Amino acid sequence: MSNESKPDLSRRQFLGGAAAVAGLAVAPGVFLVESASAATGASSKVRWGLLIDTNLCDSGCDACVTACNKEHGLNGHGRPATDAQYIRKVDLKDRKTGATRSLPVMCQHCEHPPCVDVCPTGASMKRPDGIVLVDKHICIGCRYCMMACPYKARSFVHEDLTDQLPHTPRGKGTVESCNLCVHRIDRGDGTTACVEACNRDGGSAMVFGDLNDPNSEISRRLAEFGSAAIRADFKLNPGVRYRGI
Amino acid sequence: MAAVSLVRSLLPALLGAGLLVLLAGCGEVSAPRMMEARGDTCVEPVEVMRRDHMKLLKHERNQALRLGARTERYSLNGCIECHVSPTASREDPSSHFCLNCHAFNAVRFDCFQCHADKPMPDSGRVHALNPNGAQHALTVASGEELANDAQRLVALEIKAQ
Repeated sequence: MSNESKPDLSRRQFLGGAAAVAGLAVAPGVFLVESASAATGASSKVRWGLLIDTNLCDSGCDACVTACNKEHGLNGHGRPATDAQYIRKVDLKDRKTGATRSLPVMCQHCEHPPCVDVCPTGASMKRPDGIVLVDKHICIGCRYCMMACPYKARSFVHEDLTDQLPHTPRGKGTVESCNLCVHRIDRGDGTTACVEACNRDGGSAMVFGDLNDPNSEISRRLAEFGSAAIRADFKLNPGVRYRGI
Repeated sequence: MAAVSLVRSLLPALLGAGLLVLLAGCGEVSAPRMMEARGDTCVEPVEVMRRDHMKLLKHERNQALRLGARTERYSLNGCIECHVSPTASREDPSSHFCLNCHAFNAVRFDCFQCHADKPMPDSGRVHALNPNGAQHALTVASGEELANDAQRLVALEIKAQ
């Protein structure tokens, strides 16, 4: 009985003692961690985006897709219907004129993302700098976001995975999609794997940059040549823009 | 009725006796054989890391993923770079620093269903506190070292009481 009257006391005292030694916890349960000032994080002044010139994109080229798969360790299981894909190559044909276009379609990083609207747990989220991500720690794999996305940009991981890459954690039972190479952006690389590959092996059809900076290359090109959004009628204001469609 | 009440009154005593017999059969439990880390110092003292590494990691995870505020100091990849050998495997928890202790303490929580469970030797990235490369070989820590750690923790608990 005497134990029941003061439950857990030694443990609490111990935690207090540990706090004094550590100088890290101000009180039991209250925990001070290095503030975010060490790393300022994503700024809402920036909005990252892509511009894809479909006039320069060859229908036979999949350099961006290959580079993306390599960058994020997307090894398929030979089942194209369900294997994860962050980028798809889509071929368009105008039935009247016969004109064809080929374009890579990835997460469009919408300003008003429907996937975020429908997510029941808050796992689908938009970072301050406009990158739309899945917080896989709280994703329950319901796939509402996959149904809500008009661009069919998201994939569900059906299989147990091994040997994931350190910068792209992936796991069975969660939804994933293009993260605009967020690890590269946070590292300050200023480019993505697909853009890098397109410039190296493809038709130099893709430009990555800050849509909010009027002096960035992407903004200058957008101002000069204009662009289109896929399904602009949804008014989602995607961060991925296309020329020539 | 009398028999039932007799059993009722004796039940706690019987249970207690049974527990004592069970406890008497238990020997001393030896600590798991942990890997040594690369480098001489961790990001926090060992007492803090033992009890609170999960709080540091959870805070870091939310800051990094949701706000893009990444501190190299508390990143999970940083832990892996110093503590896990490139040849370790989830399949064999005794070869893996994190899983070794989790298995010993019956902690089922496993970051490595999704996160990389070992350092990438050619990533070119090493934690700031790691003076050696990711290739640096790891050895099992000596029993003395572990005993010293345990003694420090016990001393701390006694002091707090």
